[in-house]
Amino acid sequence: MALLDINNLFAGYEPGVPVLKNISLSVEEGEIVSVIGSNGAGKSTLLKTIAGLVKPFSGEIRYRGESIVRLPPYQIVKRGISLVPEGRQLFSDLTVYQNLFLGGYSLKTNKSKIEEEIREKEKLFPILKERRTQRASTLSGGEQQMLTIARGLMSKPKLLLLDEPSLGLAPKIIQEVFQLVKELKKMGYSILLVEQLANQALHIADKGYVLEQGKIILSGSGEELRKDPNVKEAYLGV
Amino acid sequence: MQGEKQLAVGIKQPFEEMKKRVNWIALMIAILGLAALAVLPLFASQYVLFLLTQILIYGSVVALINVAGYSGLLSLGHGGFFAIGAYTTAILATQYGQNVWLTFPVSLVAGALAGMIIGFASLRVKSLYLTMITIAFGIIIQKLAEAMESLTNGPRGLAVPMLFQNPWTLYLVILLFAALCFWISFQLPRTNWGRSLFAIQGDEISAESMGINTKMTKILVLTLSASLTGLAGSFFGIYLGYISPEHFGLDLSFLFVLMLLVGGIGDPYGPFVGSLILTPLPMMLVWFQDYQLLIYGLLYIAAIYLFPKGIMGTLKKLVHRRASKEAPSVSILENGPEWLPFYTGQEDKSRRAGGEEDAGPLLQLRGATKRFGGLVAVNALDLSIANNSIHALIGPNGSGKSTTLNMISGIYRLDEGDIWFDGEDVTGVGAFQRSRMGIARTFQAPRLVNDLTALDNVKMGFYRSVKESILSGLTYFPALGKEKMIDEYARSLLEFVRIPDSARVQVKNLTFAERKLLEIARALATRPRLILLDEPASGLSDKEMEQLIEIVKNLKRNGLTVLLVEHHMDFLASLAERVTVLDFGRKIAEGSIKEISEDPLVIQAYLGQQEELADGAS
Amino acid sequence: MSDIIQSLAAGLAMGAIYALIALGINIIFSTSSIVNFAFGDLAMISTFISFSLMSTFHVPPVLAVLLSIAAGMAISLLMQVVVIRPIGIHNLENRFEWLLILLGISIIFKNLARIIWGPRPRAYPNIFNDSNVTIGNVHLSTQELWILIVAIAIMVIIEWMNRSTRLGWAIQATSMNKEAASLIGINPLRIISYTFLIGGGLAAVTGILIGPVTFLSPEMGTMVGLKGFSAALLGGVGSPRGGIAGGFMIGICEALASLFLPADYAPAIAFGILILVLLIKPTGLFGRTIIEKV
Repeated sequence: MALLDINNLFAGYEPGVPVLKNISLSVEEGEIVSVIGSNGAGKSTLLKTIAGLVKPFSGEIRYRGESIVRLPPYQIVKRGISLVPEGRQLFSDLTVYQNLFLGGYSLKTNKSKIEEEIREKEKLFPILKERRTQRASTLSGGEQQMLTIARGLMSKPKLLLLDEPSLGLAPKIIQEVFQLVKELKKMGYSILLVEQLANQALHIADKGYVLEQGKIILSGSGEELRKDPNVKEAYLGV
Repeated sequence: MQGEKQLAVGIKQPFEEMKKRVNWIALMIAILGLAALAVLPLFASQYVLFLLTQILIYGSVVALINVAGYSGLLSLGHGGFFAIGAYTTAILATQYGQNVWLTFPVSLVAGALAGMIIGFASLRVKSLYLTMITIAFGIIIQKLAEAMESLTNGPRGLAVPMLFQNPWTLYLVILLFAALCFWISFQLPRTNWGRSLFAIQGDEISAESMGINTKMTKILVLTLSASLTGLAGSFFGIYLGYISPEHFGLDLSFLFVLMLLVGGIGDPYGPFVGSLILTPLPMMLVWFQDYQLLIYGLLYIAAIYLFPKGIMGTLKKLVHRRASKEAPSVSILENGPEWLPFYTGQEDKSRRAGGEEDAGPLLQLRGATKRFGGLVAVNALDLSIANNSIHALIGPNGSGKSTTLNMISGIYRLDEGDIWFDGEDVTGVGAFQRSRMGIARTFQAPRLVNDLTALDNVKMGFYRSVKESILSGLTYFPALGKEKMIDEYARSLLEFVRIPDSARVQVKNLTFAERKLLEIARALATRPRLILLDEPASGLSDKEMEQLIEIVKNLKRNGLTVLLVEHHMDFLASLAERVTVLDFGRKIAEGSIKEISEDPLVIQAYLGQQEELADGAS
Repeated sequence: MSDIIQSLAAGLAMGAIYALIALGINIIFSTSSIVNFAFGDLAMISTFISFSLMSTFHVPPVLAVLLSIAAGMAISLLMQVVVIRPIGIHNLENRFEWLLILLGISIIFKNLARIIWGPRPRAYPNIFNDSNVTIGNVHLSTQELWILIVAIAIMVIIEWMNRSTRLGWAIQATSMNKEAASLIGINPLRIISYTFLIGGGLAAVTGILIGPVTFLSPEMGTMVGLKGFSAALLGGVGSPRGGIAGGFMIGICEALASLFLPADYAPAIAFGILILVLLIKPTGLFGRTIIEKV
């Protein structure tokens, strides 16, 4: 049984206008799965649908065998799926510490347990410890991305959904982010990564899917896809 | 560019004649109805006359609130304008002994001035806050009426002299006034100016992009509505014979809006239906007096829960549902016309420009820079768009494409650099003026007025391109020619974008693809020379995309210049003559589609770095 | 001169009341984008309940006050359900149905009070002994002093909640970004309900504080509520500190104006200031400008 199983999923924002058309994919425990595709292909919608922000028209999403299609987002987090949203949706007026603390909101444990969790995350992201009392809005783009990921990890997820973590970052920072994703895999997280940057995303992936206009047009191992001429075409139309 | 001129003059004769005949019949019915209403009280008691007079006065005010509402404002302060008019007449006539007739123009002016103040407030404050300001305004007026005792006699109130010995004569005057208010609220949506109000209600940004001066329009509509409400107040004072601050409390403004809600917001008949139902209740039922407000409150909430569109809206929906069952589903034409209607004058200009050896670029950005806080969205961008070309702007997410479009259409001001259009510096020119100069645009997610039909949405685009004065629009018959022209142009534009069957369908019932095409039609109605298309192909099926390609090619044939923002490469491959690639707000490549797709910088921006580099960093 | 100081002191007490209302309106607005227009009327109903408990059922004052605060919270929660049910929580800022529903509720409250307790103003039993306190040469009634003490205590508590409690942070997170909040396990509707509860409690306290000053009547909530709302607008809706500053400003301006003009002009002046400020700075004195994304 896969950790996450999606079958024949149709979803969108307006009735009758499906953004995702007949999507089927799966994520096994301990895997990095990359979904690549150009702007507007429906990548973010896919992750939002899994996280419960977008209600599917039809199809099935199963997490550890349990259907999560009808659950609201805050229930899905409790089950162990955490979405790190695109564009770093931090609570900008709160401090780094408060953002992290709220990341553990779903744990419903006492303060000291959450603080322990925060210290662990600060070991992984030392910069966040330095910035602890700063407002999230005062961080640089790369630091904000790190904070968003750290906040996503605070709920102790099994499955991490990463939405375009490279977006708007400088090339050097992008490399750090991909390095971190590999690191997270080693730590035992299963990861569903959505990216525009196909080369890097497929390089670290165990499995990859190519999304075009809401449909999966190709799938295979990361290596296979990287060599596939159709991947380049899907982006550049050459 | 051959032959479009002859085609463009095709006028559909039968349609025109049918419309004319229907109008005469409607006019006859209206005159008969008015006559019937005029003589009705002669066969009824004084009491009924009294009741009818009040129904008409309240109905008129509610109709005027409705008119102000066309631009999206929900006013809870019309009780204030009403009070201003009533007190103007009472003070001038009773305290200063002026002729009652002479006070009417003063009431109109006083109401207009107050309306203008709220109108100015509407420029600064949006929707709900504005509604709350109107509430505050109503309270101020009432409190001033209480406080300024020397003029208003304070809480004791003022007597108002009679205008006529016979109350029926007053009724007739008020009936005419009510007919005027009804006429304005009925006819306005059928005029250019009225449609601009709905455009503002729908979306101010897209209204500006159609050349509508949203600020001026908002002030004007409130001034008009408030000024007539002032006159209604004068009539109210005369009708009662006595006024005091108690008559003009917050409850009165609430009651007006309740009538509007019950009757149906946005419908010209709604206000009078609402007044007909709610005015007599407290007068007829004694027990109602005690529980009046409680019942009003419950009605308020019930109205919102049960029929959010009011009685008229619900009736319409029923009729509409029946009609729509028979209506054919919208079809997208395989082949639409290749010509644009009404482009005759325009065409010569662009043809000439295109014919000369080197007319220079139509649009030029020099060092254009836009920052949002610390983020530089567009960085020192140089861009020139040749006349009568199809130019595409591409780049990964967040590379500054939409920001660039917003700078060109005037929604964003540049932080640095300048923009030239057709040889003129337009850097400091506002959005609606750029539209008037010939820059039209569509939006990534269509910004249409969803409650109106596709045809009405296209008609909004003619706000400037077909001139029509407010008065000629309201007097209707002289404007018939213009309206007919607009109607025909709008229909042929729908044909041009190949959705002719959508004309009578509400936008919210259209598919996404139809909305995108509709927005192109509306942009074309402004008679642009340059049209900016923001991701026109996103969300379209392959077949729809093929049609869009044809439409865009036809735009070029008609002499237009097209600037596209698009991700879809297949789509661009068959269209774009020149492509500019942005990344991190900078131009990284420019050339033909083939050139840029082989450019290593572009490949890296889109696909990311090669694995060797990725490994090197790890 | 002493006149001015004296009216400043009175203005301070009324300002504290407006500030409390602004605080209640702001906290509800921050999570739900709903401006609770019936706030003053909720205060009125709660005050009447405490009045009936004391005078009719002879409940001890402290218990009566606590019970009426609980009633205020319960009614506020009920309002939340009635207002949000037909619209849902996601598009509240773009809809106006809730405003109309709240106006309806406000009318119903006023009329219910008129039916149950009658239209005539009644004197509220003074819980505190009716004496004056003199500081320097300024006289304050014990009531005014109590208003200031309770109001400042509440402001401190709310500020503490926002700064250092999990609930306070969750409220702020929900107000900043509902979607992101739900992604970390916060149920936005539940947080909105909490703010309605807090707001309802604040309304009841406010009503009980001004009861002895203004007399009890079905209309007592309307003007006070509107001025509290003006205070919120003045300070910038959504900014708790701005609302407090706005409340004191309106209270003081009103008191000063009453020195130079007949008292009848006071309400007109309060709203006049409001319109003036909004024309100059639409987002309120402490509000932020939001850039619309196209």
